[in-house]
Amino acid sequence: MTPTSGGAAATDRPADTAAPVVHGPRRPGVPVLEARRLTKHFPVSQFGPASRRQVVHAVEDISLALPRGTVTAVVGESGSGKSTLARLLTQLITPTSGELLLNGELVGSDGRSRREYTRQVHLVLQDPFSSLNSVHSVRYHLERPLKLHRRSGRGELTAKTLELLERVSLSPAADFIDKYPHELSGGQRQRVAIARGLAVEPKVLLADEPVSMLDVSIRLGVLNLLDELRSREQLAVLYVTHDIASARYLADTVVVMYAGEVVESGPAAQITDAPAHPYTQLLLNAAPDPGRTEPPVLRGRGSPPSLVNPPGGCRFHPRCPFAMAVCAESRPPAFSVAADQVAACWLHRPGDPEKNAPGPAADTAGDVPRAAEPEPGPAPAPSTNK
Amino acid sequence: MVTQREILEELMQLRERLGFAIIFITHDLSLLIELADSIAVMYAGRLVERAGATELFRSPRHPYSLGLLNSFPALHGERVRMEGIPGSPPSLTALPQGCAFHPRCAFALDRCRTDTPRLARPQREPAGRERLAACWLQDGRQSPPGPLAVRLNDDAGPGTGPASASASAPAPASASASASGDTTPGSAR
Repeated sequence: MTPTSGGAAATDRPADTAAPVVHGPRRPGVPVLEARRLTKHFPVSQFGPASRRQVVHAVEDISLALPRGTVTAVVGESGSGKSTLARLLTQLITPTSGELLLNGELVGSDGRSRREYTRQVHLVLQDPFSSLNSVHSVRYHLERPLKLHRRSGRGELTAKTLELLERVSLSPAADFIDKYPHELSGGQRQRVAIARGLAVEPKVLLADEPVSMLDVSIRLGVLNLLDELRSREQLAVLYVTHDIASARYLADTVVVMYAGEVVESGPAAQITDAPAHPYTQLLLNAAPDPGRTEPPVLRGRGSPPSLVNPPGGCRFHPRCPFAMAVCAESRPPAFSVAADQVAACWLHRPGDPEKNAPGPAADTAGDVPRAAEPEPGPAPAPSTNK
Repeated sequence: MVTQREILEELMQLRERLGFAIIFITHDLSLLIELADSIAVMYAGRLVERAGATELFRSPRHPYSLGLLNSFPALHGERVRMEGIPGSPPSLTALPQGCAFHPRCAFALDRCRTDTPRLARPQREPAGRERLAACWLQDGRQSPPGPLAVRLNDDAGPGTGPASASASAPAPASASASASGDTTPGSAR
């Protein structure tokens, strides 16, 4: 349970040489966007001797493929690195290591390939109250990307803008085009933000908690809009959320993140009906469920660890009710647990005689060798990452 | 999510120990159904429905409650398309005439556009059930539409359902709760 230092963290990775497991929906053909072994370490301080410089291990070795016409949900708590992952995919921040492939081709770093990349990959932010500029009209917000990416002549700007508004179900579009953000409701603003994302005909939409700031009654409308964009326009959508129920509702594939790593991924309904990783089980038990008749039992309480000195081995092991000796020593690779479903958990090591995969509600803690008590001793410092 | 659940557990334990009552204000109806004994639903500044948590979940009487229940995807079962509620919450400075919910209501009657319904006992509610709804559909002049009508399977009185059993358990205190969407789209967040 001793946290490894920042530099040594990479030595306990057995999968380093093997081909990484690529998360995301399985579809034939080349995915629109693919991330290979993305890693992001943020420096904590730039001063002091190099040996003492610390880094936040925000995203660790994640490979993800987004095929066209699919929604991939990334689920995790605050500080899980899910937003950092979305920002890495927009190229707003540069990865420490790893690479991005657009339509199967390596993304270059020169201005031209960057422009091409931003044309194809767009981000929709969480808060439509701050992502739109209150001194500019809807028209300005939507014409801007059209002009910057020279997608249309001067004459067709208005027609294009109206068409965009219709595409996000803001109709009649003529009523909305000259409105200002304060004249719109939250749902309408988020639709404008999505329309802005669609202006340059992207192939990939990255939506970072797109409904969490909206009134509950209109969230479904925005989720259904993303669903339509997937089926009607064949967009590849990345849906970042902390709400596992909405991920199940919308996504083809759910990717569960904990402390900067993917702990489990697989088909959406399968993940929620038969979660294999103890952390996914914890998340599901903590989620509100009107159908529940008994108060849920949380196994693995606590908060995410500090990402400056993440726990060695499996990062969840200090909280895990099923932790074994091996969990503190080496990082579990992604084991296949069902069709298209993988879990990075030693409980699912194939051919392991001690394999005792806990069911979602099974009380098997007593049968599984444990290296740590369910209640973690020294509470890991809460992460500062939002 | 985990932190949220831990804080809720702490609250509920404190309630058991100290015997206070809780008014829980939230938009998260799926959470309330789990936690609360009774739920009051607010829309545009008014209470529109009041019922036991299980009763509200099983058979709402107000179209807004029905719409809210239809806004939270389930964690189990078949994945079905849900519609939420069309439109958006009204501005509190320019409330619609009559029932404030009528522009978003799929079941609106002519009367809903002019007269504001009072919070009252639904006319067809069987005796012994404490329910209130502010909706003209429940005034007894017409049969309420299927999802808002009294049904056989929700005819279980208090104390028979698994969750209502715990609601009527001899707990020293009860949790009341109020659910509503934000009704002020322009408010600062």
